[in-house]
Amino acid sequence: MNQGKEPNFISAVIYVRNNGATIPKFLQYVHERLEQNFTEFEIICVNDASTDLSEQKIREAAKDFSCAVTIVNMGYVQGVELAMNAGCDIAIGDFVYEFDFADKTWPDDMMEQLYRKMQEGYDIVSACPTGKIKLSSRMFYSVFNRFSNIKAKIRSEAFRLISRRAMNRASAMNHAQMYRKAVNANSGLAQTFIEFDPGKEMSVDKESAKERRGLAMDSLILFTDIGYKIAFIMSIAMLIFAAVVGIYTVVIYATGHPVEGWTPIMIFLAIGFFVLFAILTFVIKYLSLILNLNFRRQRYVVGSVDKL
Amino acid sequence: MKSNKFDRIIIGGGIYGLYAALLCARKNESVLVLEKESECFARATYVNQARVHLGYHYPRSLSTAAATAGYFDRFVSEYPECINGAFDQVYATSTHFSWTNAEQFEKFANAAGIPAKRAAVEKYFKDGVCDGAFLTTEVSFDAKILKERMLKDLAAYPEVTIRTSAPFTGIERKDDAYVVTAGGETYETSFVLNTTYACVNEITSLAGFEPFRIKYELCEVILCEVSEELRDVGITVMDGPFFSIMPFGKTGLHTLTSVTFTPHETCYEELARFDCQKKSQGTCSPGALGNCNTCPAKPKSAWPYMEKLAKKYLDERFAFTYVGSLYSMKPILVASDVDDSRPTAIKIHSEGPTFLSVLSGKITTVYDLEEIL
Repeated sequence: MNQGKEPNFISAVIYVRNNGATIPKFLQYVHERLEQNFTEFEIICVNDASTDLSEQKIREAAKDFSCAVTIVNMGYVQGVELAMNAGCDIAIGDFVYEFDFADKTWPDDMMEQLYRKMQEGYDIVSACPTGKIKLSSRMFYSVFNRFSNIKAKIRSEAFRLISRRAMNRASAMNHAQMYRKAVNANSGLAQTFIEFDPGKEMSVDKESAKERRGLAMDSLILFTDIGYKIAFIMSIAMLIFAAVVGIYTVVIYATGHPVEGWTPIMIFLAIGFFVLFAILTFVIKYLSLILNLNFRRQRYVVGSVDKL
Repeated sequence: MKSNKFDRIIIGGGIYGLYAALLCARKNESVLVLEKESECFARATYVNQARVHLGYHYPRSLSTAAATAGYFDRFVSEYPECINGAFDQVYATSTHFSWTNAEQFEKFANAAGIPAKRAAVEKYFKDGVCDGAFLTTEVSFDAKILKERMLKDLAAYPEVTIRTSAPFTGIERKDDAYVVTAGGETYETSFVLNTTYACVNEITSLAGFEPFRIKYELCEVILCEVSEELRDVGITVMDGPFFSIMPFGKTGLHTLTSVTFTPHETCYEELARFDCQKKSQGTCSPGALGNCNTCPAKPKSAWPYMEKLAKKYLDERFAFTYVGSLYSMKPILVASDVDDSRPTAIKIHSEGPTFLSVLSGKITTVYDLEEIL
């Protein structure tokens, strides 16, 4: 009995948002794979206030499953990050599969591949699609990886496998985990990915797509200093420009014969803008400090401790 | 032949049945207790967490909490020999997914007038999983010792008869009396009390009375052997999909239960209808529930799930291992789901002759019987 099955307890957390069409097949797939490979497992569906028949479809599909199936219904639409956090908080497994899209684009044995890879000593293993990735996604990841100070690079992921250790680490690091990938990448634990060719684009609900775009903007601002850098440079540039205009006005007044009234107006404008941009520069610096104190609050991050 | 006439007939030999018998016997009435099983306390009275509730479980129903607290003192002082109070009962509120947080729990306990002293969360739990822990004064009872005590109390009254292996099969009205058939014999009385808990609707349907609106849950209580650190500790994480591990009376074992994994199957029909009944080899059907604990078709244990859930919360020093599972059917009044209260429901089906049904979820509310007897 249970020959060749792994004894570890597995949780599968699936984000569901108006996926009524794909969810029954998807659940079948996840359940079948888990049953083949593991003795104990559970499936958690996080229903992010779907307006279609998703919940009903889940109930129907899961009726004959051999494992515990939990549906976490979000009170209102909260987006993939918060919803998946809720799902992961309720998961009890040693290892957790996180499916952000209830749509299978990967080869059947991808779940096992991730698990086997993890046994090689990784805490986070992701399945990453190659090829057809949307331009907007590619741009986001390249800007993110260029400007964030996170060591590990992040990229498009279809789903991932996370150890209990990594989950505990992530939740201890940041209670407001608004972007799990970035927090995971920041955890200092070993992580890797396996690539696959999806063949098609993942189907994302229109509303979800809009949210994911919003999330992308927020993450760029929170996890990278690109916003701060741009604003800071621009206000410094304007500060210098205002100073130059001031000097130019004084020079013209001393050497030429400006129209009456020109000099006081220019002096006022130059000094006014100089002070304004000086204040702005401080405010931007200030805001970024507050952001750091509040959001990136973490004492230290230890990758591992090796005793020799 | 000894008379088959009784002042009162009580159906069901659980704690409610035996306590009702005792109340009647004290009034010098002749009483007959009819029990389906071969011994009393074979089902729900034995198969449960063995928690003597002081009301902590009902942070969303102050009235239930207050009523429970009132009964607690009485039960503990009346049956001291079956009480195990020699352990620290810890209640904790989960950081995530709890309907109640630490502050709310503290406020509730104060309002209900039940003690709850803040304890160090990290002493019992892993980092970050709970936002508050409280030391309480709840105790556990031992059903086997309680049974011996109650049977001893009843033995002092010769007018009390207890018939085991006597399943109730029918009732007929004859003028001002009922003729009850059970275990192949007939008995006559003018007062029938139905205290059969999970079988309550089975009896009312045989008698042609209105049923209770209940749902049925097939529940599993896991018995554990625990490490030294956990021996004198009971831990309950609330208020939501969590778990509890606490001493099982004076047996030396702990029970492990969880809100999500303890109920295996749920049935919303008037009479309990479950798929497993087909495999019960004829011992169980919707109209005649068998004993889940001895059933050949009892479900596979949810131990792997409950173990993981408990380990996700408990500090590493607490260890526990599987010993066995107890199963029983639990009826839950449908109306009590929202505020999580467990009132005692009493239905008067007929008067002169009288037929009553009582349904309650807790051991200590047995004192509610005094209202009707």
